[in-house]
Amino acid sequence: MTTYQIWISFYTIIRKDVLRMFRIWPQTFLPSVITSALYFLIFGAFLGSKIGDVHGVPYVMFVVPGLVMLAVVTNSYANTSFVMFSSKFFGRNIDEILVSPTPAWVLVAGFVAGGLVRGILIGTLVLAV
Amino acid sequence: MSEPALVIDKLEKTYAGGLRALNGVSLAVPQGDFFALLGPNGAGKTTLIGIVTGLVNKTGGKVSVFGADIDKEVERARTFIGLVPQEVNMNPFEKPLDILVNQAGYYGVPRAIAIPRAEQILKDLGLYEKRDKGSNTLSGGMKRRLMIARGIVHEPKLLILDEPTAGVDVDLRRSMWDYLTTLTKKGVTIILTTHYLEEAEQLAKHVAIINKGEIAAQGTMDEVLALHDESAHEGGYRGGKLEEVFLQLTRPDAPKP
Repeated sequence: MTTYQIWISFYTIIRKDVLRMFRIWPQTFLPSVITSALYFLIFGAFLGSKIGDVHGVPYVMFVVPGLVMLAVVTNSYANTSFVMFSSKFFGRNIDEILVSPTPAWVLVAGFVAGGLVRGILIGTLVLAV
Repeated sequence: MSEPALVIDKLEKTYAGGLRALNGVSLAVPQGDFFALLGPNGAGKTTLIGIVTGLVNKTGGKVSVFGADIDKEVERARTFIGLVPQEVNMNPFEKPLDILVNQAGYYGVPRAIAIPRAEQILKDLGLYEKRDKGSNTLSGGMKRRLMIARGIVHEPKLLILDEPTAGVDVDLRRSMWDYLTTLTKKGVTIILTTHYLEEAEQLAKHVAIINKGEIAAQGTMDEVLALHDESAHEGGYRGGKLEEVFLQLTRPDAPKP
């Protein structure tokens, strides 16, 4: 495959994954936002109000980065593993790619990039919450 | 003479559990041929197809597709092949048009080319009206046609069909054969596995019968039909001539080739 063809294949994998994420947004985006909102409420508001400031910094400011990263990491991992396992063991539609000339590293890079996109989107949403 | 579309030389496959699925299979498929690969269940047809398409690792032998060795020139060899697998294996939530355009994308075909091509194929196969519906809403026959569409969207030179008409009604089977015959007229080489032997007898120019991982017979259709031994018929139902040869060669007490 030429570099251009490899790029098309990579773009196809990531485009398909991103469209899937948005098609089932109540399953991909909403749970993390609700979970993070609850965490913020419990650890940030309720617990934070008891602890107060730490060296002049509100307790919630320590919690925010951790909860954002928790959402980013778990969603990135969940996305990559779900896409791979569902297409391999449920629909078996991973064969669509495996029979094609798409090199294995492009397939892996596409799945990883899908996870990256979901992680960044979730992180932004959680941060907005 | 042109290079064969597919050359298989002493192909062997032994699965991890010790099952020997292929035992030194050799065959050649000429370019532009409609080639029937026949055999009883468990004979090794799907394993052979899996090896050619890169889904199964072989344990011995060589395979080349239009001169491209599947070990040394993997990507080039795969560019030539289109596969219609035995099982319907597509994302049930994806739309038919998306399935085709994505499949073309995996072969490096840009969307600007893939979309009109996919639409044309969907029209040819009577699926255009369903192009934007979830593929889980399609009937069994429509799913089968969509699998064929997916197998040809990147315009392969070698199309492998692994029992494409299993569970498909007569009318639809005929229209599928008509469509596939037009592909061979355009120069596409077709390898077909099927249990509908009367169809294979009508469609195929060359045939190979595989049994227990070994080739029991191969040649032109006339050559294989000439193996028919009237005395081998055990009475009762009588099928077509190819069916009789098939049974003669694949029964448990058949002599080894």
